[in-house]
Amino acid sequence: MEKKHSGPEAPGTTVLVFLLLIWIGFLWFGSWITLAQAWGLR
Amino acid sequence: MAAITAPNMFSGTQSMFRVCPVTTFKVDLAAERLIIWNAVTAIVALTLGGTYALLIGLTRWPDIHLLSANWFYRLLTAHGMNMLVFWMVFFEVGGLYFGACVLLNARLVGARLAWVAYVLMLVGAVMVNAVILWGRADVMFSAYPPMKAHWSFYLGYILFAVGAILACCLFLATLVMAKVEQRYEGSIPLAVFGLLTACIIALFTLFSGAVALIPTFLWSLGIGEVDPGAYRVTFWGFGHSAQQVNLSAMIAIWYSLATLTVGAKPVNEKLSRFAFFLYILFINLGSMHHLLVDPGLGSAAKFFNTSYAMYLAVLGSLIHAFSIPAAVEVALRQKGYNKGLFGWLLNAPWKEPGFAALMFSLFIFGFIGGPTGVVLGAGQLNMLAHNTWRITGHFHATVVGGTTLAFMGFTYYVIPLVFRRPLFGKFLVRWQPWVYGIGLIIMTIAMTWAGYLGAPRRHWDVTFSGVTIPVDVQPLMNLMLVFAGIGALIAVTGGIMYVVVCVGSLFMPKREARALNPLEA
Repeated sequence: MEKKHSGPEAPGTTVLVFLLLIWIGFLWFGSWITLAQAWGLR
Repeated sequence: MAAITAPNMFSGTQSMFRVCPVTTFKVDLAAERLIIWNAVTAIVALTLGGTYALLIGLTRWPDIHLLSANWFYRLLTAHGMNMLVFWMVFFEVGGLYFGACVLLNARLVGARLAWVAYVLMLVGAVMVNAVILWGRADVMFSAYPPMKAHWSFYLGYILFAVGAILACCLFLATLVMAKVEQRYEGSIPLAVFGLLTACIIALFTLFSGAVALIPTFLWSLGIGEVDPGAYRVTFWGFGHSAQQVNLSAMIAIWYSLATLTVGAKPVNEKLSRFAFFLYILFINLGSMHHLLVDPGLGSAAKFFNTSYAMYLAVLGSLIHAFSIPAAVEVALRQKGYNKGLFGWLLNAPWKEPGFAALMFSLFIFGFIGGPTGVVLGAGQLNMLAHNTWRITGHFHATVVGGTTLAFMGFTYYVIPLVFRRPLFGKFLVRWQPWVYGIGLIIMTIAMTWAGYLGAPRRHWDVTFSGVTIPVDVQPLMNLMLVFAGIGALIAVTGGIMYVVVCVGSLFMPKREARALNPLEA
């Protein structure tokens, strides 16, 4: 049975970086759409 | 060196093996010779392509503008063919033999045919190089009709492809016999699975290439017609899937380098295998992104293939992009480097060239190459980016900063362990991935930015001097062209370092490797 990842051996930094990238991407994309609408861009 | 023989089940002949003192793998001597010859030929192609890269880079730098227009397009064709086709495929064929034979302790099936494959590929490569330098094939790597090259260009291309297909078939046969003869237990290792993915994609890629190139070859002889639109569809069926072959091979090498440098194990091997499988299913559909400006193809097909289908292939990449750094992090944390968020990264073996190459390759592919590719594949954005230097920036980040750099890092293990010669110029080895990686980061970002500001690709004079209606060229674009030139010079320096190490190592005295770390071997 594979050892469950928890505690100091878990790849926490990689997980955090990925979540951060996804969050930033979401923010950027969301803000771009909002601004595009505000500026009347189609 | 102790040679052992093992009987082959069907032919009754004997294969000669040696046992590696460092890894304890059983190495088929016939396979070893083929790996060496394919790798050396790959590096010759890289040297030629790199020389042309330097000349092209100094031409696209407007203040230098080194080559004449004719020679620019000529050497651009030669650069594309030598780098994208010959360097890549010769190295990958060597990698296939390595994966099937060395990693599985198996014998190579059809060693004589493997030499036939090598000769076909070599003859094809020499023919193509010769006809280009002769000036009869200034048609770029994509060779779009109605531009017509001399028939020997297409014939060389086809012979090379036939040789590569043969090598792929021998890889598959070797895998089958390795299973039948029970040379390994359980499933094939993940790296070999990645190479198998590359091989499967390569087979349908090369088939598409044959459908594109054989009628074009006949047309160059005056037989029949070729529709340019149809050619583009079948050519890019070959062209992009070929990149996915490079991608699968690169990722197989990423997993291997992670294991070799820090002892990393995949976080979830089943998921990694599933990610490789996604490539096989979806990349050919994603190839539609080369055809988004083509008038003859419907919008529905374009949007489905470059959105739904391509993103599933990208999902595969995202799985690997997480899995490999996570595996490295787990391995380093298990070794005790647990301090804070980045203790593991700071205490990683950065001095080892394989690790530096892995990290630079991951960074450049993951942050520059991959995302720009996804962006450029979207229909609306492609209308703005098509034929600009953004495209060139993207694929230099993926193929040069990603795949080539990973291959270079892997070479530093192949030379002591397979060639059985210590590395020449260990100081160069230590710093080569850094020089190459930093040069490419500068170059690819500058290329992308210049393209965003309007710099076209495959164009001798991007300042459009001497045109009747003046073109408004932004000063920032000129600055980016300069940075691209500087980055190219640094990257070429890194390339020269690599070639010097490889060639120098060939002349070192032969001896068994003493350690896994190439700087201590």
